[in-house]
Amino acid sequence: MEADPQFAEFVAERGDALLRYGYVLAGNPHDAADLAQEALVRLRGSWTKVRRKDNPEGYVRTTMARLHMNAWRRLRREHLSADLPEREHHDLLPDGHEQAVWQALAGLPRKQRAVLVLRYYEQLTDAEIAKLFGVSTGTVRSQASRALAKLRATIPESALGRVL
Amino acid sequence: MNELEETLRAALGHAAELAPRPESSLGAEVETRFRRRRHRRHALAAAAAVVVLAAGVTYAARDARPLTVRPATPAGIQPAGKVWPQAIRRIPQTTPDGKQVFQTVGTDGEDLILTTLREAGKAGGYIGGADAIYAYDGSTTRLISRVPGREVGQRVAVGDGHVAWITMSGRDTITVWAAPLSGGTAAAVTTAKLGELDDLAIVGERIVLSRWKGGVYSVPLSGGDPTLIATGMHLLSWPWVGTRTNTKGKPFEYFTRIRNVETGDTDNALVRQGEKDLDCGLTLCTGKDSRGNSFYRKRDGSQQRPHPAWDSTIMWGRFAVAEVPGSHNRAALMDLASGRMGEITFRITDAPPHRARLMTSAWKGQAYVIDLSKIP
Repeated sequence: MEADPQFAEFVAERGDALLRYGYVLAGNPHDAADLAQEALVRLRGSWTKVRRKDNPEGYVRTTMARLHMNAWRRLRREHLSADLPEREHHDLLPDGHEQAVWQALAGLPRKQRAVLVLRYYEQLTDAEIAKLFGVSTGTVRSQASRALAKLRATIPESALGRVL
Repeated sequence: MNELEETLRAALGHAAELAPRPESSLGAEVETRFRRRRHRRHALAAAAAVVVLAAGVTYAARDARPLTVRPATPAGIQPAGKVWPQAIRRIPQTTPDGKQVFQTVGTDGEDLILTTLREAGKAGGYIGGADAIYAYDGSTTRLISRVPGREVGQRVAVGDGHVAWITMSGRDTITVWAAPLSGGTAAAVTTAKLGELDDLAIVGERIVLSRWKGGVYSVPLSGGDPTLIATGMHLLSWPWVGTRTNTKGKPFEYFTRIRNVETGDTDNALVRQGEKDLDCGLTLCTGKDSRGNSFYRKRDGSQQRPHPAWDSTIMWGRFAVAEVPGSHNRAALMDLASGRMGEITFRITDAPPHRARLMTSAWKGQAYVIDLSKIP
């Protein structure tokens, strides 16, 4: 099979956006690159079919979200009694409060983080998110509200310890 | 949408801007991996099923990882405070009036100049950037000035006995403020339609403004209209300004061409064919070679070495943030001159990375600042 010029074009055009999406999903540059690359390799495998039937970008983004969730499941298996994730921040956001929120996101379980990213970054509806993960809309809503409550609870008291 | 949701949406949008840029070889790499995987699948089909599964999983996990330079064995990395005790100063976490200390923005003699964070205090939401500016002499914290309006960009400049910052109204209008470090009322220096800034510095009796969209201006501390100093350029480190190209989908190039606005001297960093993502400071450049390997070297192209850091930018001439070997997500400050590393947590620098000198951080609940200029 020859390299498909249309696939190469797709990667060149959308690679940037996919890495951005991976970054907000995963929260760190390594996992962002992993997610985007792995999803693109999978897209490459079904390129002819996907291009004919679906929207390739939607396919990649869905794959990325699902890969992210699967990694979550793996981690949960491996570290059943793991501590909270390390609270780290390696980038500069333009606003201190955004920085606090970005850091607090790192403390959320992957599923909750993914729901927030899909809702507030991808601007998907709860019904669309539910379809993507194969769960009910009610589950999405409860995940989102739990995640928001956690952020709300984490940010004020942590502003010193984590923002500084 | 409530305040938290608004902040969350903005934070995700802004954080996305900080995502790693795709390498221009991404397409080719995906193609190679796809083929390798397909080939492997075919080859392994002949082997026992159990082996196929195990090998496939392992290989796939390794396969997806971007190539990074990583020492083979995880080494015991000490906290930065233990590695460079002479460069570390503890700072208070709160001011006497109970505000949270956020960032160290400069020094004035032995005093550290600190900012506090504005807090809305209701519904867990936060509004605005810096709230007030303080001087800390090692034991007491003294208020220099409150910050009127909404400070943006976390860029607060210190110099010439003054502190300066920006507030923004509307999309493009900025107001530059200044206050004497000895204390006193903040005064508006100028209001201008310059849009967002990527840097702000006090140089002599002037404030230098570097527009995000290009163009370096200066305005007297005493007030007046901003004067254009360098069209389309960005402040690197006074008196040097330079080019910054960051076109979507194309390799970026930061400060490969620089000019001294006082003497007119120019310097063009060496860029070899096939190299990309060049990011230069006054002495060193980082970038990727035609095979995608990261390097750092002198501006003239000499002394090229593999670059181990996960951030491309070099701070204060020779420091980078690298991954703690084998950790996957812990960060260490690395002195490229000596190869020494000290673990850090998040960092907030006093200036854009190229001229960052003070890194505010925290370790086990203690806030501190690392003064890179004090690392021997």
